[in-house]
Amino acid sequence: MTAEVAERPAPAPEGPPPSMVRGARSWSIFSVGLGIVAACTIGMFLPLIPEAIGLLGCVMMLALIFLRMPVALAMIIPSLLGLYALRGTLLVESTMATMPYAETATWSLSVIPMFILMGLLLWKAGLTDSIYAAAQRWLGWVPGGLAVGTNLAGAGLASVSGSSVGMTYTLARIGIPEMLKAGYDKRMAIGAVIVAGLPGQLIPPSIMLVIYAGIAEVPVGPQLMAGVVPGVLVAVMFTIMIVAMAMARPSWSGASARLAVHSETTWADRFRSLISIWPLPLLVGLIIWGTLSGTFTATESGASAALLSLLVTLWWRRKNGPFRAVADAAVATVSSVGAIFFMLIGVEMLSRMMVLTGITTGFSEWVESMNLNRISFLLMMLVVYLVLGTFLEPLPMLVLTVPILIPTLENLDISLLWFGVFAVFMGELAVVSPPVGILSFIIYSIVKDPEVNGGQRITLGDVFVAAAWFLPMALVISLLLIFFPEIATTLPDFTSG
Amino acid sequence: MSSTHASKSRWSVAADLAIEVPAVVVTFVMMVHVTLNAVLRKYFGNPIDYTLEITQYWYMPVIAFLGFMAAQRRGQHIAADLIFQMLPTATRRFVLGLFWIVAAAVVAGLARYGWNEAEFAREIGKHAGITPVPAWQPYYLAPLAFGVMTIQFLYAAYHVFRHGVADESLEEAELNEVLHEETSHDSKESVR
Repeated sequence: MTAEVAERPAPAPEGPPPSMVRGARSWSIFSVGLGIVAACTIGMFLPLIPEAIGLLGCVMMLALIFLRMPVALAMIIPSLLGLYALRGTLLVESTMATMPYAETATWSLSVIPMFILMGLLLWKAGLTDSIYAAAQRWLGWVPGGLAVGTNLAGAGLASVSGSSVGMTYTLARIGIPEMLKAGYDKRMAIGAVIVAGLPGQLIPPSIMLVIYAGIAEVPVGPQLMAGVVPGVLVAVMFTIMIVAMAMARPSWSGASARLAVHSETTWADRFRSLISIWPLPLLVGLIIWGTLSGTFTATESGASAALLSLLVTLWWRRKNGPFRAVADAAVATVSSVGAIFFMLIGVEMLSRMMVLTGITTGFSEWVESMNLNRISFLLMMLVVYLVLGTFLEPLPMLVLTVPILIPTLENLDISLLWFGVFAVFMGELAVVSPPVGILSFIIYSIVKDPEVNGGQRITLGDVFVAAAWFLPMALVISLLLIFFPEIATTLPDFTSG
Repeated sequence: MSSTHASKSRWSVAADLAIEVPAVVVTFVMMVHVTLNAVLRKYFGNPIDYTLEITQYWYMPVIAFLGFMAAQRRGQHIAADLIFQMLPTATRRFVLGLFWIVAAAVVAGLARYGWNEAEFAREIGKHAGITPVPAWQPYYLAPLAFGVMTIQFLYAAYHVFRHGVADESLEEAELNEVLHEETSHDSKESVR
């Protein structure tokens, strides 16, 4: 009977087979994607007004990015085509000849390799585990203590870490099973890990703020200082939110486990846990003090912090391949620096093309004609960034928007230092928002492991719901930044006297 | 077959070392140089001359240009793949292959005009600003890096057309890399 069934030919499905349908659909997506690129290329050489050429360049750039062209090249290609269409061969040749060297030979951005090196060294040194353990010992007793500890450990780690992926991996791997074991709601546990890295790119040393400073051509030191108070605010606000959620719904945060942690941890344990995290406050303090007091430039602060991190790594890993750890961190630093600076060359070429097409001033004039004031413009940008964040990662989002917005910001009297903080925070939200929020996917990949989920079924939907739980607080913080810009500007104003 | 593979691996390792070792050395030299200069300036009133110029005109171009090649070798250049993920392997191969060829043409152009600029800098004996520090030599890094990247992109195009594309998103690829690092770290620890 079984053989008979097996030998019987399957009934012919109605219509074409699914693979053919999928194939036809994918070929049409493929054709549309390449068609847009081709149409934009042709369009740029038609007798159009410069603004239209700029707009076609932007559309082409987005199409190339979504088709997985590296972002740097996706900016360089339409920029060169646009420059050629507008001014001919000479400008394209001079741009290609001078810009790569000019963009890399820079003192102000020389802090980038130092910050990246420091973060990767500390990650390799194993600081992550120590900070998490210390945060749990000190904060395990408060309502939602494990989640609060995760959140604050993440803030500390993300500020010195060069790899938010690596940091999230570690926090999710250690933190989520502990919280689930303690009876936390799965969405509370995941949410605490998701928001843990949000303050990290605001609290110095922040690579994103340095990159913004390079694009917006503002001084790096004050830009780093502008991130301090907002970064602390983000960490505090999410802590308050977690505690409030734990108090309102004790079942979400395993109330019984909290008491156990409180009774098991002694003060000696707490102080002992601080010994292994001393580099963190020291390095952050060195950078803030060095820059704030004017003792060191940002690069000098970064270099001395990287040197200290090197010594810490060599010492901490002295019995466990210290030179291998340093070599891994250094090699990863070089390729990260390469990726960032290649993209900055693309940004500069794009900016040159945008300025020549008049699209940046055109946008500024459009905002003016709409009678938008500072607040309404920023509320509009809040929505724009939230939408962009659903399909772009933070760095591309930053480099695509900032060059276009600078004239408008100046017209509306919006501090460029302040906007850096705002844009970087919005970029951080993009990391967790669907459908391309990389951290959400990473957490989902980790929680699929039975050792992490402890037998609970956790879907991608749960991860996005967890992110959505915390999104309102992120919006409140964004609004606070918009309505009280002094949160970001006071410290740099104080620094500059 | 295995000897071919082994010799390929040797070439691959040699290429990695040639690109990454100089960049790593310069990164550490820059770190020590800048720190020493800051300390000597602040506490001894005796800074190291031309630190800023050497950092700007020598260290940074070396790290960045070698970094371009290293990032390409390690697939670290920043990319997004929202639409790309919707394409099945057959069409991905065409998209990536075509893009790598276009990318090769662009970086070849950057290499060519970068060479012209380097020759010009050499002819005029370019210095770092108004200092006596010579600065024309690092200009040759642009044609070098972009020349190597041209080869890298052409090889990537050849590889994609011949072998297709790995069926994973960028997020999965990045996570796999972290997992790989963690696993190798753990296995080293367990060996010890």
